[in-house]
Amino acid sequence: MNLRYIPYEQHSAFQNMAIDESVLEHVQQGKSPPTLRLYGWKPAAITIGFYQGIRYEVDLEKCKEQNIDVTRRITGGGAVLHEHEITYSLIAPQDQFPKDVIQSYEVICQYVVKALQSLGVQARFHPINDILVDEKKISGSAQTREKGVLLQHGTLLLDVDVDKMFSLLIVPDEKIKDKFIQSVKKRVVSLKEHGTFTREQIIKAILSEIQVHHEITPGEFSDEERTRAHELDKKYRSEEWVMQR
Amino acid sequence: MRRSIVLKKEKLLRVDVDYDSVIRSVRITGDFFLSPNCIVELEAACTGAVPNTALGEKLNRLIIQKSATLIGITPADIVEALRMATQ
Repeated sequence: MNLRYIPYEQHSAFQNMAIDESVLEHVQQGKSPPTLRLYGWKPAAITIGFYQGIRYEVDLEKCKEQNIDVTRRITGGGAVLHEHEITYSLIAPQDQFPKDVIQSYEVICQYVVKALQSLGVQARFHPINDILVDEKKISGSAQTREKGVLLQHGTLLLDVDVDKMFSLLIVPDEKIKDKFIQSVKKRVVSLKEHGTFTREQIIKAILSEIQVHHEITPGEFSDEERTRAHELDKKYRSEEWVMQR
Repeated sequence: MRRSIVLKKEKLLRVDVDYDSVIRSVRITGDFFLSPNCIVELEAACTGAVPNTALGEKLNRLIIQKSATLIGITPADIVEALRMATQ
C-alpha cells in the first residue's frame, strides 16, 4: 500500500480529531489516499473514548482551571491525557489489514513495537490495544471502522505525569485514590525512562519500520480536507458532542 | 427506579438504568470498542425488555446484523450488569 505521510505537526485536540475524521471521510469517498499522520497536542488535552460517560471520567472543573481542553474521540477506548507524546493515526482501507480487529491492532502496533526495538527499547504488543515495555504500558491505541475504512490512532508516551493525569481524571473510588495512583504509576512508563531520544529519532524509527511494509510518500492535506476539518473542529469543541454521554 | 452499575470485564462497562417491571431506558458507557457504532440501537433494544438470556441473544443478533464488532465486553456482560441494576 502507498501511504501519504503527513509530517509531524502540533494542533489542539479539537483540530487533531477533526483532521483525523476529515481524512477518514475523504478516504471513504475515494478522494484521498491511505494516510499516515504523526502529531502532537498543543495545548495539552484530554480525550475520552466515544462510549465513555464524561461525568464519570473527567473532572471538567479542574480541566477548566488548568486550561486543559477536553473532547470526545470517534474511537472507543479510555480517557487519555495528551501532553508529552507522539500520536500516530493510520487511515486506510480495512481490507489492507486483518479482518479480525485484535489482529489488525497487532499488525499496526507492531510498527511501533519494532520502531521501539530499533531504538533499543524492548517493547511488545499486549492485546487488546496496548504496547508494553518492562510489562508497563507505553502506548495505547484505538480503532474504528466505518464504510470499509479503518482509522487507528495511538499514543507513544515520551513522558508521563500520573499525578497530573489523576488530578484531571475521576478515579473510581476517592477513598483509595492514593493507592490507585500508586498502582497506575507501577503500570505506566514513558520513553524518557528508557533513554534520551529526540522526537526526530523516534519519528525516523517509526517511518523506517512502516517503510518495510508500505511505500511512504510525504504529502499534505487537500483544500477540501482542510475545509472539512475546519467544520469538524466546531463539532469537537461543542457541548453537544463532548457531553453526549 | 434509577440505578448505575459498573462491571470490570476485559474493559469497563457501566449501565445507567431507569426501570420498573421492565427497562425504561438505559445508557451503556465504558472504555470498550464497538465498531461500526450501533450503541444507540443496542440501548433501544434493551428498552421494554427484562434482562435475561433472550435479551442477550437479541443484542448479539443486532451486532451481527450491523456487521459490528464489540470488544472488551460481551452482550452477556451487558445483560449481567442490567440484571444487577434491576435486582
